[in-house]
Amino acid sequence: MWVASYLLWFIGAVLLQMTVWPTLFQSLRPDLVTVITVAVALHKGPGKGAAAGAMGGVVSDLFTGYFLGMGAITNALVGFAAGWLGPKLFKENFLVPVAIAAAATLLQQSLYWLLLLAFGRNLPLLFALEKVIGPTVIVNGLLAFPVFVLAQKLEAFVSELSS
Amino acid sequence: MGWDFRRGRWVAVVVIFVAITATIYVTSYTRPGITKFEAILRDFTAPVAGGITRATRTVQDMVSAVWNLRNLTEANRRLQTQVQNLQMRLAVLEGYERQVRILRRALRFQEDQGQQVLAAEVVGREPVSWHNYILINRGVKDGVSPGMAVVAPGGVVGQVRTATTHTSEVMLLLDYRSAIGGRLQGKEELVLVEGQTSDPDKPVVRTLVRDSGISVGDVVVTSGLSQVFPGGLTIGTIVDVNSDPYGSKKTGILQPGVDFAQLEVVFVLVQPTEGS
Repeated sequence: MWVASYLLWFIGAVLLQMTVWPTLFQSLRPDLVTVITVAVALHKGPGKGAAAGAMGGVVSDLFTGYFLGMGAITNALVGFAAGWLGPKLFKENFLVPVAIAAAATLLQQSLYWLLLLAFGRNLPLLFALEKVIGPTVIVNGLLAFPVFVLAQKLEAFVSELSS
Repeated sequence: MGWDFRRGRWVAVVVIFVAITATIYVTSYTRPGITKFEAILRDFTAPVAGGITRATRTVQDMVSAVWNLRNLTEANRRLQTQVQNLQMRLAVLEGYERQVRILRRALRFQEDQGQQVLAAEVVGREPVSWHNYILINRGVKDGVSPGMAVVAPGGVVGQVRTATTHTSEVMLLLDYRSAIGGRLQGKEELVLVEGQTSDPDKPVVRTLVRDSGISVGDVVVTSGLSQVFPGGLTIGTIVDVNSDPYGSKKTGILQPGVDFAQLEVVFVLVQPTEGS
């Protein structure tokens, strides 16, 4: 059940990134897959965080069509890291998950950039930081809290349905 | 001798890692097609994506109309209610007007082209910020195939990269993998327009001769020498020119003729151009 529900979340998130977001804001783009991965990881631990990250990454990769697996591997690592780090932090303060989401995005985007470099796409570091990584970290940080709240509500709803 | 699960797990991790690395490597190049699974996913989600995009544009029009009302003073509150109603209706009408404008432009554009063009709606954009492509709601069923040119009234948009039954993925001329043959209008000098990574909004124009006459304000059009684009289509205008340290080789920076941020309808040139 959780696999299907996460799959729907990720497809919905990628569709939002492809449609609503670019219509409203042309240059800034969030990475909702990473935010959702972090939400799952903080709630369910490193194992499910990594699995959710891999699933979300695959969905995003399939829509992108290039470098299939790159999103999966980077988000899986980020999901594992966030799930491992989560219990060690004081999660009750709402700023902590937001900071973790921003840090996770920085890690995921940096890994993605490094892998792009490794596979022959030579993007200058300053350009990547200024045009992609930096804006994505900021937007993801801003979106983290509402996404976390929504994810908790959806999780509760799905649990209620399955019980 | 029993199976060592701990060792087995590491073997599985290594196998998965190698498989993912191989997949990334294979898909890092421009592929001639996409897998069936990708095609099904794209065809299945394209109508949903199209619906969401259209709904977002409508809501955006209405919200911006309501937002404008905030500028009216408190003294006009009574009138404001009436204006608000009118604005709401106006927003809807503006939506229609915009559609009519787009369709009129499309009709005129089709006549100008003098060849078979297929109008398509932009239903989605890349989900991540690292690549430059759009998704349109026309595919193999409509006669679209990879390699076809995609244009808009402002000029060249890009090239179809992959096509499923109902959708196509268009690589924009801004993409770092894009390279289009062009010429400087009025100077008849051949150039090459390439997407660049350092500033993806402004492609680079490479001159092919020493002491090129390229200068700011030059309009770059398609050369017509390729198998893809007919000649004379606007690609953009030169906004900056850089010279190498010896001053013999110049490169231009292009402002594309198409506003990619506002792209809603594009046209696929479905008929191969003769003699190109």
